Amino acid sequence: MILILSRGKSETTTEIVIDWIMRLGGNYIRVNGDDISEKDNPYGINISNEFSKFNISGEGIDYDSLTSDNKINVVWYRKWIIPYGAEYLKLIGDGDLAAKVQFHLSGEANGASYGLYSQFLNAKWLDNPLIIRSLQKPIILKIANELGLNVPATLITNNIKELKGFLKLHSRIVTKCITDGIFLTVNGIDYGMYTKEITWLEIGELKTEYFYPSLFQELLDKMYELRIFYLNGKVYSMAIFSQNDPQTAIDFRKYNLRNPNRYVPYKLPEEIEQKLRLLMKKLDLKCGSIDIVRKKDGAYYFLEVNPLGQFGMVSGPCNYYLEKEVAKYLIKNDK
Amino acid sequence: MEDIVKLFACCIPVKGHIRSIICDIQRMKYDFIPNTLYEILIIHENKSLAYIKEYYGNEHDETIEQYFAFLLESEYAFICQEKDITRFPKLDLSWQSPSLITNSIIDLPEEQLNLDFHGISKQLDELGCNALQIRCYKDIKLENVAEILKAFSRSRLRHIDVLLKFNSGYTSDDYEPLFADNPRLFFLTLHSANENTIFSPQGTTLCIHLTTKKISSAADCGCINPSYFSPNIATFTEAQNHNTCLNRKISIDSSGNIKNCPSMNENYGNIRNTTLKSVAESKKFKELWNLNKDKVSVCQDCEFRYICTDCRVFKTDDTDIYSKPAKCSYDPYTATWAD
Repeated sequence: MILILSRGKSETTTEIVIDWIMRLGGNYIRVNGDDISEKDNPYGINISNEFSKFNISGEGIDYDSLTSDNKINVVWYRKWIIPYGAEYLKLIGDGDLAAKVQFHLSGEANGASYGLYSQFLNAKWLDNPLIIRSLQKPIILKIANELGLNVPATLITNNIKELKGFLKLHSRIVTKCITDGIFLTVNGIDYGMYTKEITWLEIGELKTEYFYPSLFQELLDKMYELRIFYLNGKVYSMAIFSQNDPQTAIDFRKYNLRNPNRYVPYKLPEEIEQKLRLLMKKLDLKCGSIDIVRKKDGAYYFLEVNPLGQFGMVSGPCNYYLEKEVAKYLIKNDK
Repeated sequence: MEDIVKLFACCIPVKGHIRSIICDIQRMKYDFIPNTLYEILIIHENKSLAYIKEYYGNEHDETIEQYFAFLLESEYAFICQEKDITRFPKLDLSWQSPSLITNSIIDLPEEQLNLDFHGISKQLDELGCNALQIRCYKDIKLENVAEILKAFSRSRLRHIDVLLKFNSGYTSDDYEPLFADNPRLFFLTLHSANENTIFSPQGTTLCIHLTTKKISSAADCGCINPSYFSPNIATFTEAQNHNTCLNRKISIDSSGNIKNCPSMNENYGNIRNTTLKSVAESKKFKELWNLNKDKVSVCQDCEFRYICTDCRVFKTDDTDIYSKPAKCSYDPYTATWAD
C-alpha cells in the first residue's frame, strides 16, 4: 500500500498522481494534515505504539484500521502539514500570549507528525522528512560546491561593514530567505517573500550597524533560469526566460500573469546532469526540484534543491507527464 | 559561431492552404503568418539568417528580416547560439490521460428527474472522469439542480459546468449558493435570457453567463467558431491523434441513452440497465476517438485544425463520416468566414 501524506487544498498535482496510481493499478491511502487538525473535522486519527497501530476513521473512509508496518511499503511525503489550529488560537485573542501559544501549537502539531512517521520507519519514503529537515540551504550549497558545481558567492552576515565589502566586490547582490519563504495575508492582501536586489540605496537606509542575520548572494548575470525535476536518477529540465521582463528578472516567481515567461523543455549538458545525480545521492534524496542559473557567459550556477518543490510547473509546459512518473515510482516501490 | 533565431518550443507553426498560424500554446493565442514564413521555419529550422537570405538568392533580404523581427518582437522566438541548439529540444506532442473517460455530458430528462445521480457519479468515478456538463433545456427549479449537484459532491470530478434555462423568477443571489455548496462548479450558463452578459459572483473567479440564445435541444450544438478555439497544450496535443470533441467523452441524453454525444442517433444502451464502463470499454464506442482533423476533408487543409473543436454529427455530408462540420463557415481555401 502507498501512503500519501498531503494537504487538502491546492494540490492538483497530488490528484493527478493519484489518477495515475489508480489507472496503473496501484493501491493508495491519502491523508491530509488539514483534515485531522480542525476542530469540527469529521475524521479521527489514532497513532499508538501499543499494537503498532495507525488508524484513521471518519465519513467516507473505507479503511477502518491499518496496521502500519506490514501494509505500508512506501510513503509519499507530499506537502504534509498539520495546521496549528487557528480556531483554538481565537480563544486566546491577539498579542504576545497568542503568539507564544501559536509557536507551541505548531510544535505540538509537528510532534504529532513525528508520531505518524514513527509508524513507518521501515517503509521507503519519497522522501524522508527526517532527511529533508536536515537539508538547509547553506549545507546544500557547500556540498554542491564540493562536487564541482558552480555556486554563487554567498554571505550570511549581521553587519553593514561586511555587507558593504560584499557589494563592492560583486557590484550587484541579492538577498533571500535562508530557509523557505512564507506567505502572509495582511488586511486581506497576500504577500510573498521573494529574492530582492540590495543596492547602496537600501544599505544607506539602514540606521544601525548590526541587523538580523541574513543571506546575501552575488547577482548572477542570467541568460536564463532552469528549473529541474529530479526523480530517481532521471533529470527533467525546463528553461525559464525571465530576463526580458523587469518584473521577473530577479525572481521568476513574481509571475507576470498577463505575459508569462517562456517555459520550454531543456537538455542540460551530460556533465551537469551527472553532478546533479551525485548531489542528490549525497543528500540521500530520491526526488527534488533543482534551481540553476545559466549565466550570459554560458556557465551553469547551482542555486538550490527543494525536496518538496512543485513539479507541476515543469510537467505541464514541457509535457513531461511527471505525475505519471511519480506514480510509477511509488507503485514500483510498493512491495 | 552564428546566432540562430529559434522558435520557443511552445510556439508551433501550423500550415493551412493559403496561410499559416503560429500556435502559442503556452500563452494560449495564435497569430497569422504567411506560408512563405512557415516554409522558412520548417525547412530552414536552426539555420542562420545569413544562410536563409542566401538560400533565397538574397532577393528577399528585407522581407526575411521583417519576418524575424516580428518573431522576436512577438516573443515567438529567441536568439540562440548555434552551439546551444541541442539544448532546446522540441516539445513532445504525445497526449496521455490517466482517465478512460475525461469528460461527460448529462442532458436532464424533460419530465421526471428520477435518474440515479449517485449511481452515475460512482460510475463516472470508476472511469476517472474529470469534467461534467449538466444541461437542461426546459424550466427547472434551482432546488432540483442543487439536489443533483449534491450527488457529485464526493466524486473525482474537478470541473462541473451547468447549462440552464433563464428564469426571471431567480436573481443572482439565488444562484450563488450553488457555487458556494459546489466548489467544483465553475461555469453556469443561462440560455434564453433577456441579455448577453458574463459576471462573477462576488469575490470569485467563477462565471455566470447569460445568453439570449435559445438552446432548446441537443441539436443546438456543433457550432464552429473562433471563440471556441483552444490554443492550449492540452487541446493541441490531443488534436494530433484524437477527435477534439468526442475523444474519451461519454454522454447520457435526455432519454437516458448512453451515447458519444447527446446529439447523435447511435446509442449503446440505457443508463437504467447498462453501465457506463461496459459502454466505454466497447470497441465500437471508441471508433470516433481517433478521428483527428488530419483525416477530415477540408479541415485537413485548415490552419486551425489543432486548436479547433469538431462535430461529427452535423456534417456537410450526412453519409460521410469524414466530411467537414456543417456549422463551420470557414473556407481555408480562401481564408474567409462566410458569416
